[in-house]
Amino acid sequence: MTTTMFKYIIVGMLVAASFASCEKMIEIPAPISETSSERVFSSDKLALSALSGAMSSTTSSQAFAINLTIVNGMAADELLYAANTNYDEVATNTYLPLSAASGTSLINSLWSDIYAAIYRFNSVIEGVTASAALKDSLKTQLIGNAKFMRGLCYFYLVNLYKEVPLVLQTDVNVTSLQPKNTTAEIYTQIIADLTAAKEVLPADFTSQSGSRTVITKWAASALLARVYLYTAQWQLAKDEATNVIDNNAGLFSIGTLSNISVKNNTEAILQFGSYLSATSGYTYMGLALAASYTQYTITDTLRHSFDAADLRAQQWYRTLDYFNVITYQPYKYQNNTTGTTRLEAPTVLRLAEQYLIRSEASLHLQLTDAARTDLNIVRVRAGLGASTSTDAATLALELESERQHELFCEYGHRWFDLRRTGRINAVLGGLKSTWTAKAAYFPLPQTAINANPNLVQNPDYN
Amino acid sequence: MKLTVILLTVAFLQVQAAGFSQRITFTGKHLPLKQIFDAVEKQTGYVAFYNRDVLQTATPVSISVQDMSLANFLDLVLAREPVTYLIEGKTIYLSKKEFKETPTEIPIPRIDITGVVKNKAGELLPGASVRVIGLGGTTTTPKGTFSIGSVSEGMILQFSMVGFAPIEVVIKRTGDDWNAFPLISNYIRNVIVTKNNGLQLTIILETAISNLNEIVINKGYYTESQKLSTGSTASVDAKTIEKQPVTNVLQALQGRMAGMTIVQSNGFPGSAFTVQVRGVNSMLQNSQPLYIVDGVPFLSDAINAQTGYVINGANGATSPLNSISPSDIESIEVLKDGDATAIYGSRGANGVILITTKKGRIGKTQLDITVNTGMSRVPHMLNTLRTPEYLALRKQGFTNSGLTATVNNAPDLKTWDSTAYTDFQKLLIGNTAKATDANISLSGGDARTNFLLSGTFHHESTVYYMDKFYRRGSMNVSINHRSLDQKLSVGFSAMYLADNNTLALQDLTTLAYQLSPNFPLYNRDGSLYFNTYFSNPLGVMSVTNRNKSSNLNSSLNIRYNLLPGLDLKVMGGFGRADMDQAQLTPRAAQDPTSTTAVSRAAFAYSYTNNYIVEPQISYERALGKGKLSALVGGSWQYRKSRQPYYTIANNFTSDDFIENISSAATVSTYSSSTDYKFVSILGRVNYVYKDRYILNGIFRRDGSSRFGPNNRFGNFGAVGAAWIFSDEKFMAAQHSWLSFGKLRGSFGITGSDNIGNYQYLDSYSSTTYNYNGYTGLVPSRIANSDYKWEQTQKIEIAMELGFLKDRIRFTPAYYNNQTGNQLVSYTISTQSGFASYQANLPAKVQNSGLEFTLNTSNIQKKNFSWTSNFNISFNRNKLKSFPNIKKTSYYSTYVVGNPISSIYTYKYAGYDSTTGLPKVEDLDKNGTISFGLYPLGLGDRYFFGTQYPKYTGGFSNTITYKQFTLDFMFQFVKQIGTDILSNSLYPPGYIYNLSEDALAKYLADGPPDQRNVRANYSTAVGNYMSSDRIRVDASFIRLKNVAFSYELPIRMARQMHITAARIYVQGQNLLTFTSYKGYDPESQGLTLPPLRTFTAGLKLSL
Repeated sequence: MTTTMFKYIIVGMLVAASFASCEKMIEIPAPISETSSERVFSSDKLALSALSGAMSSTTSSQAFAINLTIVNGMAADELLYAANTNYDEVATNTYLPLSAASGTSLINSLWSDIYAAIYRFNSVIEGVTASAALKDSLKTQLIGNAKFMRGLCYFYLVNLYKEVPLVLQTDVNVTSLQPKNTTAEIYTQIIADLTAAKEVLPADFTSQSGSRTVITKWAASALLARVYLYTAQWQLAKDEATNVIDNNAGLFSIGTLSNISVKNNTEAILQFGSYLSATSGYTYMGLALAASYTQYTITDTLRHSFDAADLRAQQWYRTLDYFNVITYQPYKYQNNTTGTTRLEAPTVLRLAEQYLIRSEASLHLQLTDAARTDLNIVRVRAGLGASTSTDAATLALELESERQHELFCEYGHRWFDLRRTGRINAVLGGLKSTWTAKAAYFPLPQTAINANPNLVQNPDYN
Repeated sequence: MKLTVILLTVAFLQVQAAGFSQRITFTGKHLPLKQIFDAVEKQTGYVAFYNRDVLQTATPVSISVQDMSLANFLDLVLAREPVTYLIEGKTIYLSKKEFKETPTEIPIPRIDITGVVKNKAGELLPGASVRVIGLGGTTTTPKGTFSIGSVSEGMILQFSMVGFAPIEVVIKRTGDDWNAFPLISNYIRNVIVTKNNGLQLTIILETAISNLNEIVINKGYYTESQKLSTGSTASVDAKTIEKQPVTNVLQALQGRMAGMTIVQSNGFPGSAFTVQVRGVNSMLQNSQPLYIVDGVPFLSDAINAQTGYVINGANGATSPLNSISPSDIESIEVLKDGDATAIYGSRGANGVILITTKKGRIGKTQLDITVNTGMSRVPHMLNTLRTPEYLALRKQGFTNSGLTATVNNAPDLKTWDSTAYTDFQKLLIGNTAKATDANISLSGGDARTNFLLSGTFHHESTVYYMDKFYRRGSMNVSINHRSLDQKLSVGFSAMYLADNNTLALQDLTTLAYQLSPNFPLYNRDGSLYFNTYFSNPLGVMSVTNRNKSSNLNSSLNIRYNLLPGLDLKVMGGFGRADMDQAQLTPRAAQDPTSTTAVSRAAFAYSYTNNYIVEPQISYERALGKGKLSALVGGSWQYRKSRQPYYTIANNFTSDDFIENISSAATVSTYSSSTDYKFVSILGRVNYVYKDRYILNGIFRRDGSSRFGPNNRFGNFGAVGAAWIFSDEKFMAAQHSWLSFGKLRGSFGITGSDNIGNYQYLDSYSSTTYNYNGYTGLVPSRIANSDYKWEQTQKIEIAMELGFLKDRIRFTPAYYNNQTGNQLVSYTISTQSGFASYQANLPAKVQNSGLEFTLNTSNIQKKNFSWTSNFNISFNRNKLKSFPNIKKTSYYSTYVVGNPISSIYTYKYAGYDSTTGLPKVEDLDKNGTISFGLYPLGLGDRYFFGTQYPKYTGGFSNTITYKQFTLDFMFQFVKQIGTDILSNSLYPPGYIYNLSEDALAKYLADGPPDQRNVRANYSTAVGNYMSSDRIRVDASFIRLKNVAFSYELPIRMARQMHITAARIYVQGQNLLTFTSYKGYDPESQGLTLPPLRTFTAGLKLSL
């Protein structure tokens, strides 16, 4: 009897043991919405999808959809939040890393959005590089696109926060504890990425039937021109801008004022084909355009600084009555209704800026006439007379004013310009009683510092 | 896999051979074995095969059996023969038995025992189980009689029945006389020997309630008597549950179990509950215990949160336990320590909650009908400012802030009617919710087959002013059957529930409290008024939020008694939970001037199928002077969750077509899936020596698909021991006062796989966005294939004491749980691209504490009785160690030695006489106030205490006088809370209204000229709101439940031709004693508090 019993027990245990030892009993498939990274980079189509995912999630992120424009706009002297006092911290430049108010969290989200984008482009670069299955021509294209975008991301990071960790890979054990790099190191990397991209990116928009959402070598050149300008490499800035302005095989020309946001207008060098514009023609870049009110209004300072003859003052913002208060709504993007035939796309790089870059570079290279010529191209279109100034200092001021009026509410040019030209304390100090010099760079998000013992806060914010 | 199939086949073949239902009826005296085997061949077709010499030493056998199984027959025949057998196919192989000692010449005397089983009132009990421990047994006949043959001296008979305390009786022999003694001396009056010769017994079973000593407790894979248990459990039965007018059974458990903290997050039906069994082990702060319903693991997270996108209404994540009707529950057991939870291995770390549904009762077919109706209200409102005081405060704020009030920043002062006043609390949450419940159940059966059919219906409205409701219907079926020979038993139970929850999208309590009292709900033209500071509550209410869910939970149990003491069991379970949701936001509910004001709708459907198979072999026999039980089992579980669609549709042609997706201008659909598989082997060995010394060992090996391929398996186990010292001889003298004394202890290792699925998977996820014509793929996560099982070591030492014939029962327990290898969503700096990833931390979290349970029977008279239960638990949580914390992202958030949920606050330092604003202490003296932790040298916030309660408990009483019963229960919690003042980061004077209490407190902390009233955000006030000044005592004592009932006397009931009738009134959350000045100290803050409920009802048994 006992032996029988033991036999059953042993059989039972074996049954149970085979249950548990069988790995297959707990094998599960990947979720229906996911596919393994290995597989992604072994198929041309999926690899292109990975790039597309990185692009679309970046362009539709809050940072690129709206925050870069409004945060920089409020921190400078372009914009005010009219709805309530939530973002006062940004407008009064009193952001502090420890603040729990919504203004600071707006600033913090720029950091996480942009680094999330960088992770995706790094992931594409790593996946493509490691892949043995993809065609070389495709690999170069994918890497070129990703490097351009990584350069663009770091351009914003270095200008928002100054020194930031230069994350170029996805290994979390390394990246999560990286300390800051110097601005020089960051700019070197940006230039390396953009130069490499410029070598391989296409020279036209034919791959998408003319859609300017394709990243071309001209876009790389245009962004390089801006980076050289910011790093005071005047000749290189001038060369790159010239490359875009003069050697573009007829792709780009200065268009009409009202059309600068229209999809595929001739002035656009790069537009983001985000889902926002693809379906409704509506875009956040219009800063929550509403029929009857605005949440963001152009500051009196900006409004009053326009020359009476300046057509941009008539076309690029409009007057609204907001509960009996008059507000001035940015109107570079004009679609606020769905179903319209006017399709707009967030415009990242456009030709007018290249003229202004070349003008400024020329000025620094003592080529005053060339500087004036380029400046006048922008002025004349705006209905202002051609400048006749010959004096470099006057031209420099005219140029500053021109950049302010031409590029307002486009990803924060004004904020960056004031700082890089050393005018920030004079200009903003004169406008805002709460201005302090440390406010020129935003504080790093406290959560990032809390999570990384090697990351130190920007000076003066401790 | 192949191996499994082969082994299973082998196993089943064996089962079939031995279990072939061949019965033998045979009578004969002094017969040679050969003759007996010839008879076997004739009756069963089984042929005996043996060598000639095998039967040479065999002695003739006298035997008389009726309808006995072959195996049992052979066992009996060969019991004293030098022969052993093996059955293969239809052949019985006989071989010589190896004897170690010479067999005794004298046959062991045996006796047939007969008798009756009664209850205390003298009524005969049919269907009571009578078992010889280790050999199996029978049940009493419809007349309550039983007979059991061939019992020898020293064998133990166990009499048990649902609802009664089991009695174990040992059989003794003196000369020709036989006698029976209860194992526990307390039962000496319950075992009456009516005839010694041919032993005849009368056994009187007592209801389990009156004799807590002998409750049989369910431990999931096995049951055992509470007396002999080595582990720590707490339980609540149907009687306690039905006294409480609750929709979620967790509400009925609050305060009733030591070591269990249950917090209701809001007062909506379906609201989520935070359940902690002995504190929080994980730094994830996730303490969800494992829920098991009739053996099938139940979802612990909301049905719609299993995969994909979640739509939540005002109640937050829907508690899945809302999908079980409390009236369908027979009992709930909570397993706490290592000994009790280790059988659930990797999922036992946070405790296990076993829910057993009602089963059929033996006896005449009984129809029970219960109907009740009730109403609920918010227990109390806050004294918010009325318009004149509010506007005065606002004006003062603008003056102090140096701001000019404009239509933009002060619509309440500039635009809205300054004489208007609406009591928004009364309007929005001040109504009476009505509830109706009906339950009908039919149950009956005999000893072999019984059934239960029940249906419930529940409907309740809300305290809102609009017509929203929660409705639920459920069905419960249970059928149990045993074969004539008692060897095979089959049980099936299924529970199906469907509900419809149309509660609001958003909890209106915040608006009710914060809305400016002169806020206009309508424009002059009658349309809804909108502005940027507040949502219009009428707009919010016109958003439809509809959750329809259904839940099926079924299980099939098959048990076969293979050999005496050896049972083979298979449990198969299937469950399906689904949720169909719609959230409709018509254009009319939104500010028409906003660009985003288009009609929007979100639709989602989610379901989870759950399959489980658990084979098990259990074995029980007398061994030496004790009893050995063992079980070996396996478990395989597959949970398949799908979200076929989550669809967002925008911009419908008109609000009228808002449910017609094809009328939407833009539509995006997402779908997702999650699979989870789990496989285990488990085993348990338990030895009870002399009924006083108990040793229990448990082992489990688990594999879970939530881990990467290299780390899928983990081993868990426990050892428990108990000593019933009151049964020792040397304690006999103390029995007059100490009726029961047990010392027990256990050590166990359990785990947790309470983490997300697929965290090891390096993959890309699809998005609906596309760029340049390609749909997007984005990295899903930072994959980590190296994380391992989290492990919790549990130690417990406890005493179980009974005084004065168990009228006082007292159980003190100490435990210490340490959770290491913390499995967390590891926070990383966002520069890595993600905010976290799945990883282990070397940190150790300790929960240690004391629990005391006291049950007393204060008065026990014929017409009057009073019993009380008191429990109190103290848990201390701390981060015990965290090596190299400085090199991790946790360096700034955790302090080793402090609880994992610590409160760090600034130290309030009076007000600044120049600005009039509150100040906080610069503890680190660096000249600035910074948010970091002072104990770490990173800032100025110091350790103030913990968010976990210091102690919790309950005190319940049942008083019976003749036909009247009164129950009342107090729940108490000692804890720190946050003042309602801090629900806005803005100072009083900003556009949010507040209560007079909150304002008075704030003003008292400022200068007499009230310069701290301000109309805009101020860092000083922000710091004040995170200072120790707003930490308040949120302890409370709550009269949680009162139930008063009248039971019709049996005589009257008989005259009315019914079995029983009871009318009752019940109340829930009746009174709360607290110094907390908000809505409720339990839910705190601005959420709908748990409601005060009254119901009245009637229960009829036909």
